[in-house]
Amino acid sequence: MAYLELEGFYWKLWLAGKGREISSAPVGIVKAGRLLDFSRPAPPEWRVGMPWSQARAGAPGAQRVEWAAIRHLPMEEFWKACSEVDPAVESFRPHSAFLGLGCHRKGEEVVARLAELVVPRLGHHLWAGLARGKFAARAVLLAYRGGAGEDRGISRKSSHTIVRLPEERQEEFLHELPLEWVWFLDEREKEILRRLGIFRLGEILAMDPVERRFWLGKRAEFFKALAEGIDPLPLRITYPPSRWERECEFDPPATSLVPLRARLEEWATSLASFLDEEGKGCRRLLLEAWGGEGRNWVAMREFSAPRGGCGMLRVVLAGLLEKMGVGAPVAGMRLRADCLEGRSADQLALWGTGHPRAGRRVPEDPSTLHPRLRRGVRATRRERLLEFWDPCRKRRVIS
Amino acid sequence: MYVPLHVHSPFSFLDGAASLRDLMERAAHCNCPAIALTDHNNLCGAVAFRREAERWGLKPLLGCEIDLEGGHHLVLLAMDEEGYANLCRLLTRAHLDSPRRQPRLRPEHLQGATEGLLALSGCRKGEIPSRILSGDLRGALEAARRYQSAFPGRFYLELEGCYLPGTRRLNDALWELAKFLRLPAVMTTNVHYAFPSQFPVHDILTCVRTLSRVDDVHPERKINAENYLKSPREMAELAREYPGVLQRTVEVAQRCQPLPVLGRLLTPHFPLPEGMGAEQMLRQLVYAGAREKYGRVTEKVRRRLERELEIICRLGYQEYFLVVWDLVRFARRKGIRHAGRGSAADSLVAYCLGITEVDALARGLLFERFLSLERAQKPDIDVDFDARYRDEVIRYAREKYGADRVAGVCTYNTFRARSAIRDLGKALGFPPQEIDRLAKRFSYVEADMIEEAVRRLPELRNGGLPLERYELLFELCSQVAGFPRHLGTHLGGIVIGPEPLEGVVPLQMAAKGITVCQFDKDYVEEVGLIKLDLLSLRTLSAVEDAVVAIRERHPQFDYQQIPLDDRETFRMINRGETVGVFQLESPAQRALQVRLGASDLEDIVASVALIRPGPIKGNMVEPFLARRHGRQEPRYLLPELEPILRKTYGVVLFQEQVIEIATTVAGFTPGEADRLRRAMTHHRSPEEMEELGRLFVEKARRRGVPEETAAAVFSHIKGYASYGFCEAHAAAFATTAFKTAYLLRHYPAEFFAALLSNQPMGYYPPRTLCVEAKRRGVRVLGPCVNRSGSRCQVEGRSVRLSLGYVRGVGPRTVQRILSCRPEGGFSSLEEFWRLTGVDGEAVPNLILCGAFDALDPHRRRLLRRWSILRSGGGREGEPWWREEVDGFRGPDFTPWEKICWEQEIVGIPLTDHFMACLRPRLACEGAVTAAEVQRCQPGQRVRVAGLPVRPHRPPTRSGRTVAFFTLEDETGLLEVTVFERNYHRYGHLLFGPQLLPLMVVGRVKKQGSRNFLVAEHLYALVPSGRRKSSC
Amino acid sequence: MSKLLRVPVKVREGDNGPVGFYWRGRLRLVARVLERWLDAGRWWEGETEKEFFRVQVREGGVYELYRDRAGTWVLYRVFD
Repeated sequence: MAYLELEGFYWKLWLAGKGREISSAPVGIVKAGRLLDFSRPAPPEWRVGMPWSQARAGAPGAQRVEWAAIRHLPMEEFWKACSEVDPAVESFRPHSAFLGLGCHRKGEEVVARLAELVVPRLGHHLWAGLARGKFAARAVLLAYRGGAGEDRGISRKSSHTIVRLPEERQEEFLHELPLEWVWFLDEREKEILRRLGIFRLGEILAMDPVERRFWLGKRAEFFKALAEGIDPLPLRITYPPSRWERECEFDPPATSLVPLRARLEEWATSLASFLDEEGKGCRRLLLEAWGGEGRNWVAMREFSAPRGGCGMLRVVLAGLLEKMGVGAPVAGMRLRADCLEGRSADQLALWGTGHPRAGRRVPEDPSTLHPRLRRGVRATRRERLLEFWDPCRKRRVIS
Repeated sequence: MYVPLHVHSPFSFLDGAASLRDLMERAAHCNCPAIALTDHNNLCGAVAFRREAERWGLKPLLGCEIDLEGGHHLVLLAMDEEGYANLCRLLTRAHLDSPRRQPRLRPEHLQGATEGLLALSGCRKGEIPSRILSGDLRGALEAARRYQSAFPGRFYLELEGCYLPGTRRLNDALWELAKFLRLPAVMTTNVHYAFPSQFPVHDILTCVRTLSRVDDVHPERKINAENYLKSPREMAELAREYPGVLQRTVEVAQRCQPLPVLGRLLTPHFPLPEGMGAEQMLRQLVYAGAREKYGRVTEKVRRRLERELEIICRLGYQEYFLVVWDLVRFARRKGIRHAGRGSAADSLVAYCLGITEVDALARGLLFERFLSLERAQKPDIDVDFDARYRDEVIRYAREKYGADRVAGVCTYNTFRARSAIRDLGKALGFPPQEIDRLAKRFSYVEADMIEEAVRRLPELRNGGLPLERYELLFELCSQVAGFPRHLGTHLGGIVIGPEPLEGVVPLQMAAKGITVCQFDKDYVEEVGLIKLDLLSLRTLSAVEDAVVAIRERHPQFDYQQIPLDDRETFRMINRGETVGVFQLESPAQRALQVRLGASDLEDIVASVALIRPGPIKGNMVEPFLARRHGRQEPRYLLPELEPILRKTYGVVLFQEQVIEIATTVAGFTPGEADRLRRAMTHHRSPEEMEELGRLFVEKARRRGVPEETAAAVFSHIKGYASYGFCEAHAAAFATTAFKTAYLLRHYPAEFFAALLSNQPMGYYPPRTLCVEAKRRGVRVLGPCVNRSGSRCQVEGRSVRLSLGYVRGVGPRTVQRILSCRPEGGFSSLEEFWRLTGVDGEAVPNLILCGAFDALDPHRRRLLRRWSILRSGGGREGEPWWREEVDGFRGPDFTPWEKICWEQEIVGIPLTDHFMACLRPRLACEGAVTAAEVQRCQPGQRVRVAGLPVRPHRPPTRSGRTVAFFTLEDETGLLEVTVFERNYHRYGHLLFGPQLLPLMVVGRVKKQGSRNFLVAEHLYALVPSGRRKSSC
Repeated sequence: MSKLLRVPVKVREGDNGPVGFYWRGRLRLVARVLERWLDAGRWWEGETEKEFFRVQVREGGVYELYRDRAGTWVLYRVFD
């Protein structure tokens, strides 16, 4: 299992969007007041995660780019590249992913090949953590980049750096792993554990099981397994994506539903054509809108079977918009369709005229065919019902 | 001409697809002289059938199709009264001697019990036809001989006319058999519906009954739509090859008399002392009671009592009254609180016997409303008992009169929109979650009003439902509207008969192990039995608890002696502060009280009667208030109306007044007046009211009343048609209402403790009651392991919740804790655990809701301690655990977390109110509290946030939809009104599946002395994940 | 042996059902109408009622035919 991070992804993305306008001043991509990414070359003290104020203090002429400015850009290029070197890709952040590496013996080769693809096109350095499982792969990379790892097992090249966690060291590593690198724990859980005096993953093992269950709830077993070195997380192949998302902002904020409706119509058409191409349907639609003063509206619709079709989506989205009950000026709206699954043939027959697979009837379920089949008579519903009533056909008395 | 002898009505429970009315109409249209009713294993529809058949000029033949052991069917028809009694007995045996819901008649039951009964060989499930079809002709012959000897001269072979495969063969065989055995033969079509177009309904109901889907194949599914009531021509066509079968059906009809016998009187027998007659004993008891109530029996009292006693004895109800008196006496002896209600309060005899608390003489209530010589109305006495002990009273009745003479009364659970959509939707193959979601939207809608509801109600329109898919479903639902789905038990209704009941009405076993009659409360009276309603009322339990608590500090307190003119109580009522008071709790009532300014009990009686759909829709409220306050002069359309309506300022409030108006103005006979009263109390008789209206106007005209005036008078009455109170009922309720208000005013702590001990009851949830209590200065303290008892109790000026409120702490656990609790209380968690051994989730729940706060207010630390204790902690070799425990320095839960835990575990936030925690954020947004709204100026625009309580949509006189709800925050309650337009926009927030805290923006309006809010915008306060607003 | 056919056929009608029908090139005359029944079918999908006849022809074979609302005759089943 490999965990990969591409440094400089967002910057390159922004660059691509801006064209060839490169100034000499360093550029920092800022999200929530902290540095998400920055240009190269950059001031040496700049680190990802550093507060912008601090960063700017060190480099007065630095340019700030808000996350909002690049958020709408398509961010799947990295994952696409990953999927070209390995079929099992689980996307994590736009600039990071997990690779299954199932059929490869040498993870280093795969990473090297990927680095050729993405550096310098999409980013300027590829970092990789290799370990037995997902958790360890990411943890080892985070720990190394956070300064907590040693130099053993590191392979450094110009375009990529690989941090490998050998099998025999895995358990020890996990035991000693400080809680800040245990990226499954959320802040609250970390806090609780700290209060209990637990600072390393291995100490969770030493906890009393009842207590562990009490404080960590259902995840207690999960963490215990992790601490023992068993990674219970499977790789979920999420790329190519099973989700379709669109977002838009309204400036000035929309005060009536008209622009919202228009946007939803566009999205319905776009989603329908996307689904048709993929031969898929979506099982869940989530519509979110937000306004000023922290106002938020959400509406969701789930389907019992995958759905698609432009007409139907339009109706459903209009219904979702009504259901949301927007009551104030809307500054932005987002639509997400997920749980995409293939549609079976007879659903396709229900709507949409142009689809090539429409109109094909599903044959009757063979398991319902009666033993009479042996005698050459197909057991239709009519025949089965007549068996109860017609004395000539009867196999059993009505009782 | 022919007579349909094998007919199923909707009382065949999910097997009949046409209403009795449709069937009778169709039969009349086909010129049938008579028609039979043969439902499956019951006679539920017997009374309704007889009435409906006679209305259409048909002779009713009563019978039923019984399941025999072995699975075959047999159709029985009762020829005379003895036959009817035998039929009832057979059905009772079939039900009671077999597992519940699987009645089976055994051959030994039939022996000696077939006098007066006719038998038909049945549909294809009858023994003879099924043997023939399976080729067992010898078996069919033997069976025919058996039936012939069991029903000598009264057994008929039944040919089928349904165009099924095998009909020809079957009919031919039966015809041969008839000739061979010299048995008479008839032809039927096994009628399950009136018209072929009703077949889809029948098919769907079959699916519901067999729990299958419409696509599935099941032997019960009929393959064609031929089970309808055919025309004589069609029958003639079918019977062409079998001469005489139709004529025989007419002969059968001639052999039977109309059944069941109606209009008899079967009063219970009361065991009288030696040498004393019933009347004598009744008289003795009544006068003894009168002396007790009045001190001295005045002439007025005597005259009234004599009149009542004469009517009672002439009608033959002396023993009935004795029975009721005896039950009430039993309750009194046992200390079970009780209160009579309903029209019995019209009777002074009932008052003197201690059955009711209302002095009919003083209030001028007419005895004739309850019992009169002219009307054929049976007395109906309802008594409320303390909910905890009502079953004990019923058990006493069974023991005293014999378990075979006492039975419950059933109800017919009918299809309403929700159940229809669920059942039929499932049968049509819709996925269960979809059906569930759809059904939840139709909470209070009748099945035939679905389409209209979809048009009118916003939460359905805007619910995001693709309504086109459901066209067929809604269509079918509207057709099954009102059909009985299954038999349920009437809560509290019992009948006591003079003889074993199984000869009068068929009995079957109900869910709780008691026997019930197959007739409901109305039908049971039509066959002559008298019903008694022994109801349970939690209010009485609460009153009992309160009185016991009050007596601890004021030993001479007597609930019966509460003055009914206490000024302070009236002041409190007039301020609308009646949350917790019986009958006066709802927002509508409180709003009314504020405007009414009640000053004596009569006003309370009027209020109880005013806030009902009848007076509201009939446009009575405003005129009443205006005239009561002297702002308007009562106008009487006719001089005759004045004495009747004077008491209520010219406004029709009580059912008695309607009866009186009908009698005085239009000269209705007592029978017609009774019909009017019945039409008024049953929701679904708009046609009946129309007809009565015409009759009224006609008769009034003949007495010289101008037509428009008569029509105007009747329109006043008609608006009343849904649900008005009878005065006695209102008076009975008003007394209890006032007394509970008195308790609330003078002993609030005890009263709230009692209310909280007896939840669920009343209008508001316990959470809201606590807010109100706090507003009155009574704090509600959370459960405490050292202080709480098994019920909520008074502690100083506060109320201490009982341990039973904690989730996971059941009655046994409570007992254990209480019995193990040492004198000074538990001193530590360890001691608690050691002494009680309570385990499981009870202890963490107790800790989290603060029950251990007296031992250690740091809940988190206690939790740690508990988990260590449970794991046997403090072991050797782990010294660092103990340090951690005792030296645990971490912070405790935040108030918000505490409240969330308390709400989850106890249902009441104890540390503080939800809204109190949000108050800083809400104040940033400019929201005011409910209490502050009371100080605002009318017309001011405010924002208030709170938890919505009990949203509802009562019918209004304008017919437009208005929604009301109460907004609760930490300072109190605020009433909010949402008018139609906004209701359509935000209704889904109020009535959707989930209630969230809301922010309401609206204008302040004044009503009386209180402000309320008219909402303009509503938002749900969803915790915003995206933007955390910080002030 | 029996076979489900469901082929439309031309039928000569009498008062009580078919008198004869054409199948496999020959006219088969009905000797007796053995059974006659109605079948409602899948009414929830809009299927209409069909009238079924089980007939014995002069040559001895037994056939089942039905006539739907529109008057079309269909040979449903053959019992050899």
